[in-house]
Amino acid sequence: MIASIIDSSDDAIYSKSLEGTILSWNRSAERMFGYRPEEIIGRPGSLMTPDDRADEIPHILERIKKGERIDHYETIRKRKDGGLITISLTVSPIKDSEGTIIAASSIARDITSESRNSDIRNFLASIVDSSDDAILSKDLNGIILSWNLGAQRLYGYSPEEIVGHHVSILAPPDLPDDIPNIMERLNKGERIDHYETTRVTKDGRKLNISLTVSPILDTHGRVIAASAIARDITARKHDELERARLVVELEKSLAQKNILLQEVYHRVKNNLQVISSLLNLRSKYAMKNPEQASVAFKESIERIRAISLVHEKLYQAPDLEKLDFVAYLRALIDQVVHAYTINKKVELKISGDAFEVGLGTAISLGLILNELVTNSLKHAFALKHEGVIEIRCSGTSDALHIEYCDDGAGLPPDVDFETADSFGFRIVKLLIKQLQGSIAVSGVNRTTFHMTILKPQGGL
Amino acid sequence: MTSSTSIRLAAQHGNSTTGDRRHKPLTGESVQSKPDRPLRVLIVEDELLVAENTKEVLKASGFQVAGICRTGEEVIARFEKFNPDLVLMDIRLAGTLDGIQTAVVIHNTLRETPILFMTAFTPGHFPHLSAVRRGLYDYIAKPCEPPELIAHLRDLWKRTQNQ
Repeated sequence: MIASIIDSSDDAIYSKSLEGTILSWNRSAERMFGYRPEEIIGRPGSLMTPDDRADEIPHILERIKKGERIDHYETIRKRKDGGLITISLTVSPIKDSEGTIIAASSIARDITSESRNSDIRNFLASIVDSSDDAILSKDLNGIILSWNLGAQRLYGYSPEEIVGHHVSILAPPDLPDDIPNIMERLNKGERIDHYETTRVTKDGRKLNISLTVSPILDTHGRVIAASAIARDITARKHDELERARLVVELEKSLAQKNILLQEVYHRVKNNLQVISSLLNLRSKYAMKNPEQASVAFKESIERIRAISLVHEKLYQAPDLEKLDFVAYLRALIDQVVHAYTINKKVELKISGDAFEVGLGTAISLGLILNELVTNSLKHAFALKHEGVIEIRCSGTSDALHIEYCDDGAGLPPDVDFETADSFGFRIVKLLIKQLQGSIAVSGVNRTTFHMTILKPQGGL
Repeated sequence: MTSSTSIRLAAQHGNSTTGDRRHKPLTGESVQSKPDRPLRVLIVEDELLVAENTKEVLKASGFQVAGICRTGEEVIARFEKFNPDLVLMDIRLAGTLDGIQTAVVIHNTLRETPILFMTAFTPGHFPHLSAVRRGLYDYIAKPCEPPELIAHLRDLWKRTQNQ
């Protein structure tokens, strides 16, 4: 009866003498270790001991001899084919009728697969814990069951603080349906892959995360819980937004540059047309007085330099749109004075309001002032070694007033500004008309030109 | 057919309220010869130095300058008074309307007067140029020299009279 029970046991049951010789061997021992009874009975039990555990059996037998029992001792044994198995070993002393220990009974359970599963579990747990991603599990009601180190790092909660709480603790207030929707899909057995959403940390920071949630199934395939892996993509989202912002900025900047380039292209060609027109008009006067051809050239050069100075000042301006007209005026007059006078001292007095002008107005005003200064230098100061040019600027909401005067000889009595056959005055009158302004001349010895220019709606 | 017929017709059209307002010769004869009265050109240019020079160039080449305007609005308001045979127009103007918009108004509401655009921009810069009636305009780039301008004006006139 007992022999039958022993033979039908799933555990290997065998006995050995106190010297370690195998005395009995059941069927499970045969299955577990690969030896048939006739191959092992009478032989030392150390046959089943791996070399690195050679001292285990003498040690166990010493304890048996003392009447001790060894319970559930996990060790490794070697099968006949050399394969290693993990066993849980229980060894008990066998006594004779007088109570003397005469042998030992061993019951061995193969726990290789359990041990492997345990190893795998430990291995997986260490992977989970060492992951930079937040990994948590939750039941189907959303109660958090486990919480790895990554989750602690990401969200700021320790496992003690959060396990047992509902996962909605992580949801931002503006996404109240997010977690219920995820739970609903999970209950249907669906997996949520790389779902980009937001969560809040313990200290209230908002995070962008990529979330993968998978159902956890029992052995019958029923969904019993869910695992969630969250990766912090805040930096990536920030980079994406930054990249998108930079692309928009670059496109805007490129569009502005294209507009600017077209504008510059237009300005260049338009100015060339103005210069060409000035030269052509001046050539008619030069033809009347061929001996004045060199004067005509010099005057034309100064007109071109006056236009050029506008561009120079404009391209130095912060917005490339408006220039400080008084600064331009000082540079212009300095330029003209140097071009026309040698050993002549000309004092320039500019007073009044500072104002800014755009390209068109600047070129017109620049050419007008260029003509008036040239006129002063060539005619008013012809017989003087020094002279004073005064310019007063004042502005109202709708007009700009400029007064120009010199302390030179004044216009000759026979010269009427309105009717004078002077190319310079013709240019002045044309440009004043272009600026929708007016010009009047007063004074005899101290000629003053009074100019008023209406401010257009878009500014000067 | 002489060019004078064409000019007379232009003058008639200028005062006419009938439907066909084109500068079309009465017969199919060519208008290659010089008209017996100068062609009237309206200059539309916001740079008055350029306009003034253009005026002298045109006059020296036998054209009559019908007037100088700085804005499209002024052209439209005074078009009948100027009564031009041709319009020489910048595209970027001082007023609200640009040269192309002004041309469209002229052709659709006033007369089908040929227009030579003169601009520092390239035609590609103005997608709405296609709105101007085909065959009734030409384009010349700034800066341009007087002989080039005169040749373009004459060519435009001949082409439109032969249509």
